[in-house]
Amino acid sequence: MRLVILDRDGVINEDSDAYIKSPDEWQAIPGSLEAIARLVHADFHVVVATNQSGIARGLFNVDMLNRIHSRMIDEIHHKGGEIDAIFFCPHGPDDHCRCRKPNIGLFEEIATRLKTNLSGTYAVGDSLRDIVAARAAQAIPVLVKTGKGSSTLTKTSGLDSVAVFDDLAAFTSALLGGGLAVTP
Amino acid sequence: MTRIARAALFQVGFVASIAVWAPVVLALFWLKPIPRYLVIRQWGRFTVWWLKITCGLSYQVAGREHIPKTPCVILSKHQSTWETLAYQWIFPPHVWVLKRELLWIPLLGWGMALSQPIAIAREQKRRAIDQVIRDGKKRLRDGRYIIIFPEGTRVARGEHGRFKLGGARLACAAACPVLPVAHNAGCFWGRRAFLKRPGVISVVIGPPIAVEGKDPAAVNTLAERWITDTTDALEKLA
Ligand SMILES: [Mg+2]
Ligand SMILES: [Zn+2]
Repeated sequence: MRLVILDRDGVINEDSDAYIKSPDEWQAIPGSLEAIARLVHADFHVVVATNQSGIARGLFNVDMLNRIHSRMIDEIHHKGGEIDAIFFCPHGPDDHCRCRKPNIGLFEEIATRLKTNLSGTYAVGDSLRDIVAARAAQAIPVLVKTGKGSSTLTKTSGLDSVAVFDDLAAFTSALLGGGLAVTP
Repeated sequence: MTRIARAALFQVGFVASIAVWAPVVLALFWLKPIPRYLVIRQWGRFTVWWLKITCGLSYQVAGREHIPKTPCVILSKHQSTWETLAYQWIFPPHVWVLKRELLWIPLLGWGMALSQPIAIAREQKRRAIDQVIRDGKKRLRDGRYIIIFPEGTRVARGEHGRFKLGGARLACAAACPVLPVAHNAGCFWGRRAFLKRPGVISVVIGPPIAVEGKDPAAVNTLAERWITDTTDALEKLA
């Protein structure tokens, strides 16, 4: 299965230290929506895997998260793209769940629901949590410099051998241009 | 159940498992080392499973693709008892470098002795290093990976000990790569701590470090830097 897994905040939309708490606060990163459309037109399935601890912290509820995601999906449709599913972790750091990245749960869930294994699947993120979770799930981590990406890059010398791109658009161009190996 | 009760339950099962496994392993003294090891590692697997059931502490491994197909020297962070249990299942058949005194523990130590560890007397430093290189090369030839905790002992979360040179010297002498491993087990199961914090331990296996054209000190420094940096990062995530 041609699948790409995307983190949300800092990859599709601008990240915020104050959390994205309403549809209004959700602002796409320039070029990210078009990139998703290009992936879809090249027969990739796109799913989102995102930590949303704002729910556990009481900053917004699942209903609000759904409204934020409705806006995101609308904007993606508008550019001719599509995402198959959104997998989110609503827990906080003290909930000891298995889904909050860097833990593997969201990726396991993706593999189970889509009945696929993730080896050869690219997982794009902007933080170390995304990289650790992706690698633990046997997916191929990709780091983008948007969101927390630049600071992740300078702060962690430990996790090399991860491909780095300026943004989702640059990753997409490399993938579709044959600059990365694709495992169908 | 309280955390104390959970930890106590784990401890009871842990001790009981030693009482069950050690006699079985001892009775298998006649087996070849690797088949016997395959029985021993089931014990590690059981204890890690039991830890998940009782204390809600599980784990995940990133970077398995970095494990070389042929035996090498594995250098790992050491923060808790956990890694000595879990590694039995995570890594291919291997031996440990450990303090000779550990083999004197009734049952547990006797069972460990049958896993062919490189048991060193730490008060005799010179001889210990020679022994690690001599026995290590032999075990590598026999198809075993060598696990070494270069800091020598368990180190508390947030701290780093000096990386001793023995592992890097063995890798250079045997011309095999060094595989660096970091994890954050100490954030969940402290050194000497009875209580365990529920959660998911992350183990990250790094890209192998080739020894060709490097001296042991250079190899050691590369491994130390990778392990320390990655451990620091993982601790922040825990
Ligand atoms: Mg992010
Ligand atoms: Zn969760």
